[in-house]
Amino acid sequence: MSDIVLVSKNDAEFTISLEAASISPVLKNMLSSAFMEGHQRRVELKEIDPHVLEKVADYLEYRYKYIDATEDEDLPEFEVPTEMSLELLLVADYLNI
Amino acid sequence: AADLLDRKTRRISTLQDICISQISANILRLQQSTDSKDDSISSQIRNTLGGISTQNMNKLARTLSKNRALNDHTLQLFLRTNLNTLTFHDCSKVSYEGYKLLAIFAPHLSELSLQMCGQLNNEALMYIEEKLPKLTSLDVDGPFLINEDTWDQFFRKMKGRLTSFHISNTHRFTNNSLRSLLENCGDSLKSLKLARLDDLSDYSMISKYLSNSSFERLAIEYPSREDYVTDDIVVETLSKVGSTIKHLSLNGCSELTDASFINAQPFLINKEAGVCLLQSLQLEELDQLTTDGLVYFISQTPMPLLKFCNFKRCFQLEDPALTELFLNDAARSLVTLVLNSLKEVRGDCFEIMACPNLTRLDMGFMPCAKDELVKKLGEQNPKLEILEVFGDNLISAKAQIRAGLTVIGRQSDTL
Repeated sequence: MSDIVLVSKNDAEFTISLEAASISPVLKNMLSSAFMEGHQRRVELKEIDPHVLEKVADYLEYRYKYIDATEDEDLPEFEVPTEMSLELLLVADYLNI
Repeated sequence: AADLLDRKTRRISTLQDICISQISANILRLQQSTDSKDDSISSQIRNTLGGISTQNMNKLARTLSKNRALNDHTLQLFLRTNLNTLTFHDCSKVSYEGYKLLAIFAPHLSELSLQMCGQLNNEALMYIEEKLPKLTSLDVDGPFLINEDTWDQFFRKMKGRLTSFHISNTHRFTNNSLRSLLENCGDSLKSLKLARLDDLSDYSMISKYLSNSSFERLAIEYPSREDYVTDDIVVETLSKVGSTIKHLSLNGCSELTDASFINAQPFLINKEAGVCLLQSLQLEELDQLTTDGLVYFISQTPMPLLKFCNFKRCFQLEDPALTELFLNDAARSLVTLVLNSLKEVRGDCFEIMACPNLTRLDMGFMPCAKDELVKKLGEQNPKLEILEVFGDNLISAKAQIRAGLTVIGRQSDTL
């Protein structure tokens, strides 16, 4: 399993697995194309605030972890802080997740 | 779909769903805890949810629409702001009360677009007219509750104000409604769109009233019977507004023939500029248009500003028509080109195709599309990013695709 790095505004970095990142079709595309992102395993998302991107990274790992969860398994809720919900929604839309 | 096949029923909510339910829950909570007449409630809601800039408002509206989550509650997010323009792509869940709130608490709106606004009723439309003093542009899709009388009233009130009116998908917009629009607002209108209006038959009156010397956009699309929009009507209308028009759409007016374009051609040339000012030209489903007619039209009409061109399902067109387009000034400015279903095109025209600004090309259902052509198009059009090839079964997994170009719709790409 290889890791990739998401870079936010103010150059904060968040490391997640490639599999988790690939849940977002947008990130997957960036990572598989021949663009710079593909070689460096870094995706620059400099429009996005660090605390929001951190939440996005958390979500992707959460989603990947439970991707095979069966119906009767209990899943923990994914918590979104109220004060972040508008901003996070716009980012989630952009990343198509 | 893959989940269905695997018999998986468990789906983890998308992050968008999680955010939206969080937002809705909080709006509800705040509405219940404060007096709804309280002026600060909307800004309080926005602050609680982390705030959002005015620039991002329309993005938010789009995201909510995409998730089918725009309703009277989430509408609160857009109230009491300085917004000038607002587009709701899916208003199907907004009630007439919601529209009234919008009209009262978003008084700065000058351009309003309400798509799928089935619940917009007579009262709400008049509210919008009354409470939005700056409104100049209205785009409504599916306002089937608004009747003839209300349209008439609305246009009388909007006299001298309305510069842009787009309407589609309603059977209650009649000849009388159109006459009222044109009589009251015909001289101020710069942009007019009439699409899929089942009860409208008299399109001939349009040419009599449009008189704004900077008219820019005309769209007459999918009349309920094809013989309602004839060559004479189009030529007559373009003789009035053709020299300044920037956007022309005649999608689905399948009665039209070459005569429209041959006869209207002189009117489309702007005298001062010496060229045609069209930026977008949409001629979908004009199946009577011939290659000879279009070759003549394009050869006589320099279109150095044309960015968007759509010849989808103009079945008779052959290579020379497209060759002429690629020889026109338009080749340098074109950004999007739709050639979907042009089954008579053999592909010779692409030899000379070199469009430096073309980013999107739809060549679905064109029998001439082959692997070699994909390679050639990528090489000759350096900015091409998206190539649609649905229904082109000769394009295989072996096609050489230039870096940066995305090919959509190949059979070999299916999961």
